[in-house]
Amino acid sequence: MPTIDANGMLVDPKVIPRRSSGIEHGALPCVLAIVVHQTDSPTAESTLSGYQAGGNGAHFLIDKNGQIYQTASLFTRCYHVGKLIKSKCLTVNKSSCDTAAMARMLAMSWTRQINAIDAHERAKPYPDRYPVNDDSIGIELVGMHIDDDSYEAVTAAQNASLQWLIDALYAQFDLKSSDVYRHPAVSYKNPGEARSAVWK
Amino acid sequence: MEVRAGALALLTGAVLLASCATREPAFSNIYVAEFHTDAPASCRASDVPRSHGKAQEFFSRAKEVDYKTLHDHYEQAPCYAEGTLTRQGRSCDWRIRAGATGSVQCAEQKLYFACDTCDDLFDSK
Repeated sequence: MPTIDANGMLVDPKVIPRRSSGIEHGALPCVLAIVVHQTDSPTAESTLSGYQAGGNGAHFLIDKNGQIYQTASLFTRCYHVGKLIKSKCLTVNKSSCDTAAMARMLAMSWTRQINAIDAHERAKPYPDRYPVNDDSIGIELVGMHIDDDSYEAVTAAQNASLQWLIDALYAQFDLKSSDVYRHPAVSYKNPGEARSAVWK
Repeated sequence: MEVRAGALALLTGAVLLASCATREPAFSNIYVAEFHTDAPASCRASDVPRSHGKAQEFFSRAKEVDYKTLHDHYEQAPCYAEGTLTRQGRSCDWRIRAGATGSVQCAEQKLYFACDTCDDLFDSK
């Protein structure tokens, strides 16, 4: 069973620490969810190298051969979700939506609509809304995007490591499978990102 | 000596200005052909530029970015206008998505764009 050390690093022979402080942006107040991403990079090294410059990133990176790297402390926040979240009630359970408010927002132009929905959703507690950077861990899988609707397939080794890592995080943070999301479920991204990622 | 250096600087400046003034735009013959949406209830034809002039204006103001920048910092809208343009004498296909992002596909090459100063080209109601 992996443990978390005083620096927020997962301690296990399966995980190589490659922490980049430039992608850590303040404290992560709580962990309520996990968001699974794909990098749009050809190799783990290119992503690790990019992380050295700072900016956006995620807590873990899984190479095509299944090797897991931890790239940020679990006590710190990464910018991995995107600036605007979608409406969870619209996609998961429409009957739980504030129907009048949603109708007003959906009548707006797309740009105004997604900003209004984001503000509306952020007023809700999790799990009534999708996770945000302040309450979620990001896991990146190495893989290129193909077009506006697809990414290359996640490898079997990546899926095996993803399941191992998610199981470890379930145990550490009392999470369940309904707390794990593909990136485009949460925010407005390429709908093919992490589509072939599998977990229980 | 100082006079000659000044004259040389002026000449260089004039040449640079002339080259800017006569520079060919990257794209020409920008025409809108179609609209597509994967979310008709939320992303509509009114959300994207539908005139040739607005499409032309988008590509003149937008900056070219790599896909990671587009993915990390912009939203991918589920609807877009699309059409054709000419680049370096070749016909290419373009898309402009609600949310002020775009792409140009020229054979195997794909270029990505984002515009931070194009609010007036998109419906803001």
